[in-house]
Amino acid sequence: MNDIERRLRAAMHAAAERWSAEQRSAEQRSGQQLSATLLAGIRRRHRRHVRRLGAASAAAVVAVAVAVPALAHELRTAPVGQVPAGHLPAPATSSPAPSPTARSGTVLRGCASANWGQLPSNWRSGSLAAGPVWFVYDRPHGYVHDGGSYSKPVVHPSGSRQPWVGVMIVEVDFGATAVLKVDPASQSYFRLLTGFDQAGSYSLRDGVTGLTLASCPRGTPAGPNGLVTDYYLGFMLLPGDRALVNLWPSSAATRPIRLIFTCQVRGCGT
Amino acid sequence: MSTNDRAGFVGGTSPSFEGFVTAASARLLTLALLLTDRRRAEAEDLLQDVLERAYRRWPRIIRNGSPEPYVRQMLVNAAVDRGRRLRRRPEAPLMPDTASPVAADQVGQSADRDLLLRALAALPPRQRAVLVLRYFEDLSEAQTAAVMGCSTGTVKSQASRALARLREVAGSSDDPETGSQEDAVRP
Repeated sequence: MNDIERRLRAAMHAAAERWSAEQRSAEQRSGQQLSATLLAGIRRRHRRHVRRLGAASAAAVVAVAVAVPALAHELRTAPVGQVPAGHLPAPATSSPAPSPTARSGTVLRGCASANWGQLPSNWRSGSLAAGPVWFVYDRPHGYVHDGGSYSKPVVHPSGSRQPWVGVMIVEVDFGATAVLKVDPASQSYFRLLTGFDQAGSYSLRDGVTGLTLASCPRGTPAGPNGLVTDYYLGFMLLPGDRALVNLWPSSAATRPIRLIFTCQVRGCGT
Repeated sequence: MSTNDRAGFVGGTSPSFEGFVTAASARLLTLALLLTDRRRAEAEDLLQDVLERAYRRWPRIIRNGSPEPYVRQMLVNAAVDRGRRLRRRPEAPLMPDTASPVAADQVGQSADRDLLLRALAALPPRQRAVLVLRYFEDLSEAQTAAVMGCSTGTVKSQASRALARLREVAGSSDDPETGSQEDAVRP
């Protein structure tokens, strides 16, 4: 180590010692530890983040105006004994396998990879339920999402138009395993994402068109939003387009619930 | 304070996050201060931002082992990003500020350290981060490269340029033909 390196190291360590002493003095004066101040700030930021997501994810899911008819169609066509998922707060599902596995062509999000964000206490009232799966949104903001802030430069399979990255918070009832798969008709222009912070990083691998959401087993202590597992997901869609996504609410389900994802002009892009 | 706050950190599902913040906050804040031109408010803001993002990924972070290296990497990257955004701000003068209480009250070594720290703060963000990781965190070149997400060669070149700049500003006896550090040219 040469002279300038020694001096630099000494300068940094001396500064660190001085800051440390100043910090201790400040803590003694205020009676509050640095970590407590930091945690309070982090809580504030996290609440703000969740509120923003709540608003943004609204339509992340679906334009309900579009989705409701789709669910109604399911209601009309469901076989006797099969209750449409959207009306089941606690669907009957088979017990989860000890080690959940991803359905073919999907990426697994299990209990261990949940996000556990904090939603408003009344989140269910503003959410669209499809079987054990709750698509969280903020009703006052309508059914469109604000894709602007997440509109990272991402490569879209269908061409040069800049896609929007939708935010999608999903809650899945404990004990359930649901599968979301993009319908083949929409696979050329629509992508599901395993997150929404950095769309490019979180996009699904080539050849993978869906997500297996294996919730925590029944009996798991309630999370911040109740007896549900919390996932931050996303999707990538060109403005004005609609995409069809099939949702199998349990491993035993033979018929999917069909959801339509869209990104309306209002609220998108800015 | 909300019920959630009283119950623990947001939802109370990751109690170890609080433990981590309690144990590591002082070290991380020091690192943030060095990376952000010793501006305390900016350093705290940066650290809160990084820790909030870490909290969101907490299960994944702790699954991969000790969280501190990961959070440190997030902090360095965030500081570099922020430094780039603020690059257009006016540069701070590098000569000792005789009006400053620190410089006025202390002489010699303290003034030299102050000058070095201000020269460090004036470096481009990546160069600054390399020096902080190498000489404050005592990371090897390979470890620094891993944190910075670049090659060892890049770390070497960035460190070399940064040290050359510091030598220009603060003087040095690094020339092997010259004397000890005590003989270094000081402003």
